[in-house]
Amino acid sequence: MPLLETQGLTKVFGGLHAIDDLDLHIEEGEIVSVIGPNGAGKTTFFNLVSGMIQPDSGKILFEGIDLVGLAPHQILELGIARTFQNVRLFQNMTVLENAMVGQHARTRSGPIRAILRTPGFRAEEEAIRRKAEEALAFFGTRLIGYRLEQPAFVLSYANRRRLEIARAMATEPKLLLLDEPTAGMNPRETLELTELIARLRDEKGFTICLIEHDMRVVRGVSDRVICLDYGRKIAEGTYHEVATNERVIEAYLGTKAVEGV
Amino acid sequence: MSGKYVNDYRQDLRLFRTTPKKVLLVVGLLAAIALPYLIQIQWTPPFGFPWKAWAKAINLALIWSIGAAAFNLLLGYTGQISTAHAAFLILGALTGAVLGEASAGLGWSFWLVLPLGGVVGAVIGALVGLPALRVRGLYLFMATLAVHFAAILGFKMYQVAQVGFTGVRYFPPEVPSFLHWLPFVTPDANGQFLIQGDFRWYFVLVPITLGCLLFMVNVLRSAEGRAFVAIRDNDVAASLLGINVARTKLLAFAVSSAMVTISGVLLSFFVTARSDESWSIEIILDVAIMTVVGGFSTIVGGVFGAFFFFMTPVLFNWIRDLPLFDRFTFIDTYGSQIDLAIFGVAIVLVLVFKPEGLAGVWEDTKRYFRTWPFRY
Ligand SMILES: Nc1ncnc2c1ncn2[C@@H]1O[C@H](COP(=O)(O)OP(=O)(O)O)[C@@H](O)[C@H]1O
Ligand SMILES: [Mg+2]
Repeated sequence: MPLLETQGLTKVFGGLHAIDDLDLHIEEGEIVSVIGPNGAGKTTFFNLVSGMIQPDSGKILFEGIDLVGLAPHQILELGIARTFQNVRLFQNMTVLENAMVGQHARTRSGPIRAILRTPGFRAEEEAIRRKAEEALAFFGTRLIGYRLEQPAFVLSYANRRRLEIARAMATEPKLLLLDEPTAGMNPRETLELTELIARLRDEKGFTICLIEHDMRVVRGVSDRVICLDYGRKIAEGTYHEVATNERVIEAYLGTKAVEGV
Repeated sequence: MSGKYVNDYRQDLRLFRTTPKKVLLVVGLLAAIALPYLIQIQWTPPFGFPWKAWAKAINLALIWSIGAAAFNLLLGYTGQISTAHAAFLILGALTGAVLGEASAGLGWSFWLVLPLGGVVGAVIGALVGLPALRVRGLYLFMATLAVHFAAILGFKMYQVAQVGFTGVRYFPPEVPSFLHWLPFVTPDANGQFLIQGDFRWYFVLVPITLGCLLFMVNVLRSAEGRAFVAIRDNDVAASLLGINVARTKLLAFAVSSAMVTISGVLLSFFVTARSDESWSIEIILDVAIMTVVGGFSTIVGGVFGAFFFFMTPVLFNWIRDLPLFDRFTFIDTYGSQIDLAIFGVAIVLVLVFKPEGLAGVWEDTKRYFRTWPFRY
């Protein structure tokens, strides 16, 4: 059984088929890249899987459970976390607090024990903090030390993206959805993140699905590449198979040539 | 950045973690105990400074601190604007009138009615929060405004049916008998242990207010509190991080409303009389003034704001009675309008110079002493 599987998934926005009868699957332990021209429906696919929007028809199976109709927080509890194309941090919270919110679904204390400050509550708060720091430490020294107490809004653009990934990691997901994680990063930062994505799978054991425009990143990390166009899957396979696929090249012509083929 | 780096989170979890803070706590407590004794001293300060008038202002400020802090919890932390806030003050007064030792009440003990008020407030607060699941911002403002008038209507209907137009009278509560042995608990002239007068009320209000504030601070220093702020900052991201947005909003409404209802019970027993005329729509404005001047998104801001709100008029009453101002008769004619204008100016000053409010000034002062003698 694949970790994630969609069957006939369709989402229509006022006559426009953003996702059109999409069948795909992601196996446990894989790194899958989703590529495609702007407006192909990539982000919409993430929005559907994470429960932000509901499909018009079709199924989304995660470990055999249909996610359609579930609320976003329920889907997160099942083990799917994501980042956003346009970063969505809690701007006024500190770096550490942002990551601690990631632990929310793994917390059980509740308001009563919080008010009474029971030993169980204190121990849990400590564990939450430790796990949040662990996730932040994955990015070397960039998000720890004095940065822990900085509000998110003072961070550099690249650090915001990193923090968003750390926050998603702190939810202890099985499947991590990354929406254009290197957008806006310089080549050095992009290279660093590419290595990190591989480590996320190898060391932390996450299954990863990423939307990516930078073909060096796609080539660098993907076990498998899926190309969408007009909400449909037009190609699937290894990086080379997809990058040399005629329909893919055609889809990209006039928009943005596939780099580095 | 604070001057001290905390390595041990177990320490970080405590509210008063350093020795200077503990010393400050003890000094503060001693000062709090000494204060009403000082006010009781028979003494006529120069220029007729209103020594005695502080007693009532302080007690009112203690009661309203709870409400202002609770408003901050809802608006400042969770980002939910609710005009139903003052309605829970009325609900507290109604709970006290129906169940407590009041004109037509059931005569239950104040000490039972007080926490019951919290329970009633929490339940009704969660119900009032339901529109917040659908609408936000200005729409929520309007939707909750109706609750205020419903509460006034409810109070008036009860009053007319049970008491008459004179309004509800609340009788002084008694110190519970298991506390009579305490050295500072003494019977009054009739041999009773009734809580009345500013001096006695002060010692009842200080622990209750502190308890309520601690309650809110503890909620905020937990996963629930982080969820409140997460919803305010980005509710979409919050829900995708496993936060049940609906449940969390209702929790914020419940906690905040419970606190205000408790302060409503306190207020009515403290001022001893309430009628449907006691609740103008201005109360909402008053709480907003306290919150803005005191400082958003801090519990202590509500306390500063409430004290500012009740102490300033006392001060200005005194100033305008000074011989210096005798020639300006308009000052007496428009006294309360001038008070309002002063609040208006204070709000503008805060917004322009210190958006963090008085709580921000307090933080600056603390930082100044912590890093003294190094300025940066
Ligand atoms: N909430 C929405 N309402 C209407 N149209 C939308 C919405 N979200 C996406 N779309 C449309 O669906 C198509 C796919 O968008 P998207 O999934 O964001 O593309 P991309 O592959 O660039 O991430 C676009 O044409 C976009 O305009
Ligand atoms: Mg997109």
